[in-house]
Amino acid sequence: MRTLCLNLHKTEKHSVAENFLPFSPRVQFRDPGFIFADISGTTHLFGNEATLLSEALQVAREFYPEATAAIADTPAPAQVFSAFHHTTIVPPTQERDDLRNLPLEALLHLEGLITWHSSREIEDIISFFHVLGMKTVGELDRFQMESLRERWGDTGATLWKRLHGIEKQVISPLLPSESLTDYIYFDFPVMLLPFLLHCVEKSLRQLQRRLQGRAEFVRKVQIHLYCEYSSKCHVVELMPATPSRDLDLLMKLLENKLTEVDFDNPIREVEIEILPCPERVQQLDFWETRNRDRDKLDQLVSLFNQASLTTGFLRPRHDILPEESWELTAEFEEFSPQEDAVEVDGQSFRVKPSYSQHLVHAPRPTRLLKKPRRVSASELRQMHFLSSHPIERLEDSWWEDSRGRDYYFALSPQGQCLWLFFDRLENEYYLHGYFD
Amino acid sequence: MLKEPLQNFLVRPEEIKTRQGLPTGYSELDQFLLWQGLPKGAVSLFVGQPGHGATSLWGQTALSLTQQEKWAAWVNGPAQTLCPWDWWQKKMNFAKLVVVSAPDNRRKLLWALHELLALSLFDLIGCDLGDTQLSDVDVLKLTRHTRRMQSALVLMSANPFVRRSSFYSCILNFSQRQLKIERAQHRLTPHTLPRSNNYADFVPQLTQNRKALSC
Amino acid sequence: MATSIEYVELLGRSNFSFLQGASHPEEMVLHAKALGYRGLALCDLNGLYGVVKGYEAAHKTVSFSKSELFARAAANPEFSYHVGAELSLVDKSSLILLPTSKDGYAHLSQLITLAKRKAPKGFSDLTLSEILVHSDDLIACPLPPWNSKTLKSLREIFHRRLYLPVWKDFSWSSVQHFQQALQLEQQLGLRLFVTQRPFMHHPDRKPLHDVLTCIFHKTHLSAAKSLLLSNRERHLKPLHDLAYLWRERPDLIERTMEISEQLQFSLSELRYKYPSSHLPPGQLACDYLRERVEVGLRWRYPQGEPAPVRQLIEHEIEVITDLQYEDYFLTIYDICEFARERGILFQGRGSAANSVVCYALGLTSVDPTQIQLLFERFISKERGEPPDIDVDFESGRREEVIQYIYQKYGADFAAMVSTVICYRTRMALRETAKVLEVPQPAINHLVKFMGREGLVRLIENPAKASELGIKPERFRLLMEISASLQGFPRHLGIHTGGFLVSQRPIAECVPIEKASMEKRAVVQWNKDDINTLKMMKIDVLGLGMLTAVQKSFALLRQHKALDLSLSTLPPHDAPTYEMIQKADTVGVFQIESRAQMSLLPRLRPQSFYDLVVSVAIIRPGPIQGGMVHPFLRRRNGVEAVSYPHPDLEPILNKTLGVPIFQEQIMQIASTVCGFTPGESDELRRVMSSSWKQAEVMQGLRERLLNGMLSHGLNLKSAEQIYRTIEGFAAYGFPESHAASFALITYASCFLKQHHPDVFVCSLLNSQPMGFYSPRTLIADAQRHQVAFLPLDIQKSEFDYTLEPTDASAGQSRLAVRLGFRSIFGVQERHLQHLIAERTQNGPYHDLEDLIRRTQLPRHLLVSLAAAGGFSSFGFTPRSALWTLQSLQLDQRSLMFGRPRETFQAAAQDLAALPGIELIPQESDWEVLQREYQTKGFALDHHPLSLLRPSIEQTNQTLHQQNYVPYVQAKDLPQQRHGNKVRVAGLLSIQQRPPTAKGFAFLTLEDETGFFNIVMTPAIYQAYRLVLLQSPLLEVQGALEKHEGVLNIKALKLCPLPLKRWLEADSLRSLP
Repeated sequence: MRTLCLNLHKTEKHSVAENFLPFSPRVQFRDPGFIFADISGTTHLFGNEATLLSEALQVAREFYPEATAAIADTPAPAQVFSAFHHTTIVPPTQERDDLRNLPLEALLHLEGLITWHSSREIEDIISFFHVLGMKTVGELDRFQMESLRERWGDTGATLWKRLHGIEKQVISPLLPSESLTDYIYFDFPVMLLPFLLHCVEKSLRQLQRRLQGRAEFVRKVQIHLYCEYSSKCHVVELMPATPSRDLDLLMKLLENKLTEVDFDNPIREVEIEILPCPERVQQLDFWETRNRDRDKLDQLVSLFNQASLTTGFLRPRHDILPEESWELTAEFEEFSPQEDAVEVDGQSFRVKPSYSQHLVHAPRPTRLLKKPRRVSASELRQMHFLSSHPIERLEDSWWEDSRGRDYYFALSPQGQCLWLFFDRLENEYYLHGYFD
Repeated sequence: MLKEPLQNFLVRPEEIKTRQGLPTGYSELDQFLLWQGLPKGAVSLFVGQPGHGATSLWGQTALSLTQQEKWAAWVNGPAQTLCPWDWWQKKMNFAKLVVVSAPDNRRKLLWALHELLALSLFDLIGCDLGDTQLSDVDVLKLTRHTRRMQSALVLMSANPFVRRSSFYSCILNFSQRQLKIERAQHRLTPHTLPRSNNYADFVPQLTQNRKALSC
Repeated sequence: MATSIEYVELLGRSNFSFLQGASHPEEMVLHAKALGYRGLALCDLNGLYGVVKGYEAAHKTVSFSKSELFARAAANPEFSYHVGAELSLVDKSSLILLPTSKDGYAHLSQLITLAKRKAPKGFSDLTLSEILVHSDDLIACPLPPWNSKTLKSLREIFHRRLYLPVWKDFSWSSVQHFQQALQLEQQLGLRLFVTQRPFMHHPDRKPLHDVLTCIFHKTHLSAAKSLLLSNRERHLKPLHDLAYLWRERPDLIERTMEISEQLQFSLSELRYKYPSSHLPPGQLACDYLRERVEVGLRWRYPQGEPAPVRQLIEHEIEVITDLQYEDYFLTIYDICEFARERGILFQGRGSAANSVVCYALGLTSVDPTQIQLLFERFISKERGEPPDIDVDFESGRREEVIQYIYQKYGADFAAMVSTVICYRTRMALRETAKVLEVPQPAINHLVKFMGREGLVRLIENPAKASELGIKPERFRLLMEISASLQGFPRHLGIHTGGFLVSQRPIAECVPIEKASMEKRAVVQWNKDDINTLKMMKIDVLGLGMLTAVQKSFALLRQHKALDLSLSTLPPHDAPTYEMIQKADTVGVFQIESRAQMSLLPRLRPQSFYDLVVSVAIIRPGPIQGGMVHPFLRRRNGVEAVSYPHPDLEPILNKTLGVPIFQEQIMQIASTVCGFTPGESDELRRVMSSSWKQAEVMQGLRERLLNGMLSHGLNLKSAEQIYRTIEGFAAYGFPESHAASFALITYASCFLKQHHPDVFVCSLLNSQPMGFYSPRTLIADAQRHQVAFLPLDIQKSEFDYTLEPTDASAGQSRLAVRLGFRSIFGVQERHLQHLIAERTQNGPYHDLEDLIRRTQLPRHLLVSLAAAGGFSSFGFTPRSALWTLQSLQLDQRSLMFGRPRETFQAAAQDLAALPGIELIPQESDWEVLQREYQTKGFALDHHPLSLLRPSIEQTNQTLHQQNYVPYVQAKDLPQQRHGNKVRVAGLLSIQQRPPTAKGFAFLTLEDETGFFNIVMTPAIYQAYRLVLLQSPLLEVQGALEKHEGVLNIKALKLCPLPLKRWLEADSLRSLP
């Protein structure tokens, strides 16, 4: 029996095994990314084992660049050699001698179709033998199965059987059952056609590789493009005239269909499904009306945002400067003022004071100027200040630039109650808001 | 015999009661106005410089409205923004108030107002016109839209010579000491009401003698 | 408008409110005084931690610091300093309490103790009812926000002594509180007073205060937002600003003066009554003391004391009775008597060693006939400072003494002194950087780059910051803030040994806190505060070497029937001094370090006083002061003995004109520079305090220089003397202190010379201690022909034991049997169980019997097997491991101790299990490796002895190509000075002392002895990585030989080519 072992060095789904059906009907996938094929009957199709190995590697490396492979008699040693000597072919019945001069760490890879119960147990065994001064796998031959079984139970026994190649591992034939679908999620919504085509093409090629493995033709391709800002979804159907596996034809059809679709609402997700058989067509209805307030608002907010109008709910913030002390947020959040943090331990406590928590209750004008307006000296003379000392002195983020402001109340000649501040950096008076 | 067929065409007396407005909380104004408050399904105009009580009146109506879990909206003007702290201290329910930032031109302002009305969600919409002038046609469209959606639209303008279009159903003019009602349906206008400056309650020194404050 | 108003700040807060105040108590007081305030009350949160420091700053008249702040402060004499505390109540409100009299203060202190007693560190809980009990003689000032209910209940408690503080710091909350206060004044008739609620003494401290708040809340600056103060008004304002601010209500300012007049309490009133030690009935303290002294003298001088000693005794007793310190001496005498009964070795040290009375009472053992004692140094009448006797006990049994004191005086009358753990450079930088949002890897890099030189190195090269991606502006802020954060208190710790004992409950004069260690109560003041207030403390310290010496005496009594004690050692033992001169002092007390070893052959100590000098001389003080070499030159006659000035001759004659001891420096300062007692006292405090201000040192320098110049010294020698004094500032060693240490050094040297086996056994039993690892101690003992026996399951105890063996019977030497404690990672209780089982029912027959009887856990059995403990059962370590692996060691299972799955017949002999003989044989090198991994040393081979054959081979090839061959330690002395040598050895010690300006000192060890390697900073930087990689090194360098001291000046360093050597001579190769 001759086994080909491929290590993709990447965790993959079971369906990947279909790519390798052309090499042998008996293919088995074992996670995290191993493929075992029984090639004893099919080597003659490819001439000799070397060409078979190189072709299998070439197929694997199309999508998994660091894939490695090896051919040996039984699956377990094949896996060891794929880990240690990349693309090697072990001549028949010479497996055990090559295995003998590998270092002890090779035991970790000696799994084949059935993985070790727990890798920690194997690591303990390896370190134990290191303590006893043994370096290579060959030195373990001197022990009988009983002494290994006594010390490490079944793991010891299976280890001994695998070392002596007695364990029977049969690779069962693969019956393709999974559907030919693929799903792409873009990190940022896509508006450009060429980029969209490139992504779709990559996954189409993988599906085409599986079709090849399953020896089937494409009858119909259905592609759903989900938009980002609304639940709109473009459905594109490609029907090649005659069922075929030609990738370029499919791409050309796709490009024509997509040019008419307008992309002002960017695409976030794409779903591709290849129907090798004609009868199953899926129908989605997306036009039923929505009636709840929440959705009305979402629609309004997204509509206004698109027209560059920031909309949302008022959410106050803990900040010392008034103009930064609130913001508009799409989602409503309750605002709770910052109290002193009290840590309780049993019935004793410790108070961690927050010194400016009273700012929440300080008087603020109803209308705030977006950009404080400088007040000229003549205007100042007409105004009547209510206090010679500032009502509030606010200093912010000294670690960036210290902006010290003294806030005063003043009555304007027209009877408006104004909120002025004196900027201590430029010592100028500014009007900041009206008390309505 | 003519009575019965004619009857179902004529309007019965009890149906002619006035449409119910939004109470503003300023008792003299509510009693005087036909709708006991701001008219629903109509456009009103507040004229007055900032600091003369226009925004606070709208705020009071919005306060009582949001506390009854009804929706209100406000569109900011170009120069000034709305500062929430005064109303937060009066416990307004911000979950029911939607604020829109200042649209940069008249066309976008009208589009925004029509979108807000199209949602038929808001009972009261306030908008700070700043110094933009609306033509009669715009106001007509707005009135028709508000009547269909039964929501009250209040436009505020700081420019005392703003065009008083005939389609406004209620116009109030705010000045330092008094509130002049220039137009109100079925009422003898102009009518002036004394106005109390409501910023006095939180700056105690303002109410007591000024001397105490000058520290 | 600038009328001169009289204002007292009643709510001052220092940084002893742990992370909520931004200036030191001294800064707060000095600044208030300089601004012309009439007084300041320091009220910290839930404690009186910083009040004494404030008191000291307020009453300090003498200071060397030349800053004008101090000058302005001195110009404000009638400044009154008050004490107070801010207590947080259960309903989260807080209350300021100011004591008006001594019992008011006692009530306050008890209240704080009550609040802290139940609560963990930093927490407190206090209810109004508890305040009611301790409320008289206290002024209460509740802090806003007020609610009328608590105010009313407070008014019932405090009646007229209730005031409301109001302040204006331009924040809305202060405006609201001021309004509420005005209403309360009208309705309830309460009286208000002005305060500024200062958190810092100067507005520039606002950034630091914000950083402290962020550290307290564990957040960073940009997220702090409303946690921080909204402006920087919370500082001490000048008087005219204050007057202008409160111009409508000046009466509120006068009220602060009115309150200040009521506060009549000052810390100096704390009369501290020392407990009357339990005298025999009907006897006065002084008579009892005299009687004990007489008894002591007869014991010390059986043949009658010499005349000067008698005259000294009379003088001392007269001073002690005059200052009523008898009780203090008798208390310590009583504690030492308790220790003597229990057989706990003890030794008095410090300034107490200057007194003959202590020597007579047996507290210290410095013989006044040998050392010229200076009693003024211990107790001086005009200084009036209390005596400070430190007593060292065996570190193992110190806990017994502490519990004895607690039990004798009761928990309320005895408490430990505290130390204040402050922010050091490293921690300050780390915390500030975290708050300023510097990424973590950058912080670690900065701290590592800073090394030991502190912030100076970072400030010098700011390029480092831009490298790490920190903006220059932010880096400047980081440096500024972390520099000012240094020295801020973080939390309270326990002083190593200080005890405060008093007649009346301690809680009356200072609050007591629960320490983190259980069964320990800590006083809120540290040892400097205790000294400032002239309270007496007892130091109970532990010393490792005393334990070792005690164990040696016990072993001598048990094995060699010799009864020795510290005081009955033969004083002048020639072989001991000869050994010291040969610098063969590995494992001895105080003089075992490399620097000492290189000095001893040059100093050649012959008498006890030489030992005292050698103990004191290798200290950073003398080295920095440049005092070591001139002394050596004068000692060996290379340089003539000269004195910079005739007056210095009486002081320095004993140390050949070179100042070495702290007392000498003090005498120089007082005689030559004409220091007043107050100034010399200040000098002593500056020299002992580790935290130095630049301007204080500057002022000290000028004062000393003009003192010396006015006395007629020339500038050069004055400069030289100043440098020695400055060098001493950090680590000066008092002579009496050195004398008491020298006694222990002499005892350990004596034991090492005459009984090396007993000495090494007791040293190994009191590890970890001293300078050297067990490996070096054992190697050194083996060189002194001490036999060691390997670990044995039947004979070994937990400790190392002595066993007579036939080989060593001749020269009364015993062999040392290894103890189980030598194995890494084993717990003592398992081994004690194993030994107890063995002594009870006889030795173990075989492995299975051992396992079944002792039921030890698997990991212990594995480490015992690996250490070769089962050799007496016929197992090699590897075969033991192999067998252990097959046994069922899970105690719960039925098959415990039996092989897990036996296929053959049940009666299976364990040793003959299949596969036993197949285990590969251990080579010597692997044996060595296994021994080093399990115990850290190997008895039979030294690594170099195994490599010696391959070294010989390489030597031949080196000879052919006339390279320098390897040389052994024992034939190093034959080499000439200056010629090149190549040595190979195992790295045992690596040292890079800060005082050595970058030089590194290595000690390589081979089977015949030591190599001392010196590396210049450049070489060290080049080969730093080689030192980290492999402990087996080859060093090429030049040999330096002067006066019998051999040093190798390293030129090149590389690891030994182990791979090549081990394969060459058929040893199994390394994995």
